[in-house]
Amino acid sequence: MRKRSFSFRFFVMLLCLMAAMFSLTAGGSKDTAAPEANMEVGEDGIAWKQFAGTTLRLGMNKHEYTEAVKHVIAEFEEKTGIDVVIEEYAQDEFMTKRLVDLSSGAGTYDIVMMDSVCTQAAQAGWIENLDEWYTRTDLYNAEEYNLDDIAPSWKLSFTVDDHLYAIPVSGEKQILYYRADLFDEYGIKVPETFDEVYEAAKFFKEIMPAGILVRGQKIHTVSNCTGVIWSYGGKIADSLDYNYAVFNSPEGVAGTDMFTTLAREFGPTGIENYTWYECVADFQQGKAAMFLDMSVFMPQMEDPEASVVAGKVGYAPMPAGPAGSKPTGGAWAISMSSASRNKEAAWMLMAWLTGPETSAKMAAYNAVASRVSVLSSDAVKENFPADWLAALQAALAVEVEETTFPTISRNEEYLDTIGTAFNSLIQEKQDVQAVLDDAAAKVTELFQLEKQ
Amino acid sequence: MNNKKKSDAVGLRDRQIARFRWAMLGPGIFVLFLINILPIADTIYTSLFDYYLPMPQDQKFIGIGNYLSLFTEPRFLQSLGRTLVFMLMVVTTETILGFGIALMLTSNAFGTKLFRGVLILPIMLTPIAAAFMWRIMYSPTLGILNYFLEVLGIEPQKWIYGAEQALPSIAVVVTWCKTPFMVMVFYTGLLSVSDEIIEAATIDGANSFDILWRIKLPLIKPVFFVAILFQTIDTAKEFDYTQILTRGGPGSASETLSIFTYLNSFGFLKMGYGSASAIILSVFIFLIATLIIKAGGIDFDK
Repeated sequence: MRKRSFSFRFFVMLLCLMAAMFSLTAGGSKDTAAPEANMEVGEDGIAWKQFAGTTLRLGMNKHEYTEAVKHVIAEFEEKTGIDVVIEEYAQDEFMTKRLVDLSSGAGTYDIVMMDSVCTQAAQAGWIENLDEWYTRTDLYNAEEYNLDDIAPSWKLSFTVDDHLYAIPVSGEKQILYYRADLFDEYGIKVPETFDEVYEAAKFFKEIMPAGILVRGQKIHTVSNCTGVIWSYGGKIADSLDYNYAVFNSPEGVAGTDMFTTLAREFGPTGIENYTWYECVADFQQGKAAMFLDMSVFMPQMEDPEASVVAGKVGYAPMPAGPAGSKPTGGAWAISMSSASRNKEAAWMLMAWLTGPETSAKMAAYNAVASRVSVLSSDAVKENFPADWLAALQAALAVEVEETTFPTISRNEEYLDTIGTAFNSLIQEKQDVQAVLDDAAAKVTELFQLEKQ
Repeated sequence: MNNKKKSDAVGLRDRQIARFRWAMLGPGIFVLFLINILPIADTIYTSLFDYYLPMPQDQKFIGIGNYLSLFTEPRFLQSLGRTLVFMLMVVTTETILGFGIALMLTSNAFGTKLFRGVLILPIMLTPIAAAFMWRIMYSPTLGILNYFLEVLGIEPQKWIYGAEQALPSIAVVVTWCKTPFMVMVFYTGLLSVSDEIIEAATIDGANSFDILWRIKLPLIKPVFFVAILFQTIDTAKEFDYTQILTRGGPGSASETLSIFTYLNSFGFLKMGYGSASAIILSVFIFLIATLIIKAGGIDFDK
């Protein structure tokens, strides 16, 4: 009897404690209720002030685009009366935070920066289908917007089942960085084809630690090797339906062979675990003659504080293979969380940020725009080296048949599988066909898994 | 029981004592339950499902299916083996080093005080920062290690960038970071050996080797094994250094069980599979820990 009354009391105590804890957390998430909407319509027919008092949270990666957003956001806040809170994190931390927030449906962020996990997030229903939002002409200036102006190859990466799930805002394309001073000194022609890259890399490997730098680490190497496969006429998958892998075709084998041979024979010691971090550091310190990678690293090469080769770097378009120059690329985009409680306000901000007017303004803050019209504007020309911009524009003009990474949900597993194959070829010379056959079978398996 | 005696002494009734005890323990137990027991139970539960995070609606109960496929996946078995090798490398070296340095410190030779201060530094550094520092030092082209080798006329090495050297190179960093802990434990252990015993032994004609081997070591044996136990557990689940230094690469040459688990859970989002791997890691650590406790005759109830 005594015993029972004790445990009953204990139980009551526990309950009280739990109640206390819940009321604490409930108090913490109190939202400020929006005051009565102001539906006054502006000149452009949009009631900009209708969500005044709302707070929007942006989950952003530490990136130049985020910096540019910070520069222009005050204008939006003034125009709409919406408060915008930008939370930015370093890439790895950002990705973890984003995954936790989106998968739990917590809705901490109304807008999140998006990359190659877009398909995964879209298929899981974590982010909004934007095609539906583009019909909400009461929330943005649809007449001026012109979605076609945003680089098509970047939009393709964020298109899932023919619907756009994220708007590309800043992007990169594969280009060739080279030491203009050295190429000049030794009278070597700037490579336009991979055969010329091979010869130049071979020459420079004799006189410096590396003839060419590429990322060799298994995950990192995939985007760059894919571009070489394309340029040799190969493809990763049979079609955008992703039925089976075809990168073990003769063209795919030739491209992979060229890429991995360049890395293995003329790259620096230890290239098999190089990420962009090591590549950029080596190039900045003048340890290599060429660097085949995304255009995004230019500011780091030209930074006189960090780079001894600042001002000595030349930029050339992605070299051509037998099938031409077919660079891969990557883009950051912004997407709307399905768990957002302020979707209309969020769309207002997204459309405003990616509209032509704001995009042009943001280009002044060194953010590489995703709008073709902005990239060719005079304001942008002043900001960037001419040959770099030309290489990027040449890359943007290339039509591609598939996206850099398959738009499948199991993207990380894909990267690990195909990357392991490329990486093992960089580590030691092997029968390329056999290694790729094996990897293709595994990737096909992944594609099939997606169909279930 | 003797509780009763005590309570009588202060004139409190059993019931009040018991109630007070539970009231004090309650919040602690509740929090412990929330942050320890619940997640473990949930991990075990999740590990029984075929659960791909983006498609929660498709989760399927498959019993021990995940465990069966883990034990048939070569990559998992390799990472298990690697974890064992890594643990042996790190714990052996740091025990030997730690004991050696601790002996040196007790000898009161010149400069030991300064050395004692410097020694603590690695513990105070944030692992992430220290890992990046090492990554720069290990760089084959820009790193200071290869620079010294070059000065000595030795071929540049690949360190964490080469398949053969990656795991030992990480082991060096972890050893560097964790040895001070061993030194401190051994050092305080050695200090606790009373001077009288040593004196008595000296009078009985024991030389310094005998004193160390026959007297000091047996006396600090429990401390010795507890330190090894802690370090083994710590090393088996080591994650931050490996993730920053190599991410398990090149290829999967330095992929330990914790990296494998992280990759499957948060990279591939195979939650069931990752959970199963995490459970195996825990069981693995538990077994090793039991082995050490048995071997060292550690008695936690004493």
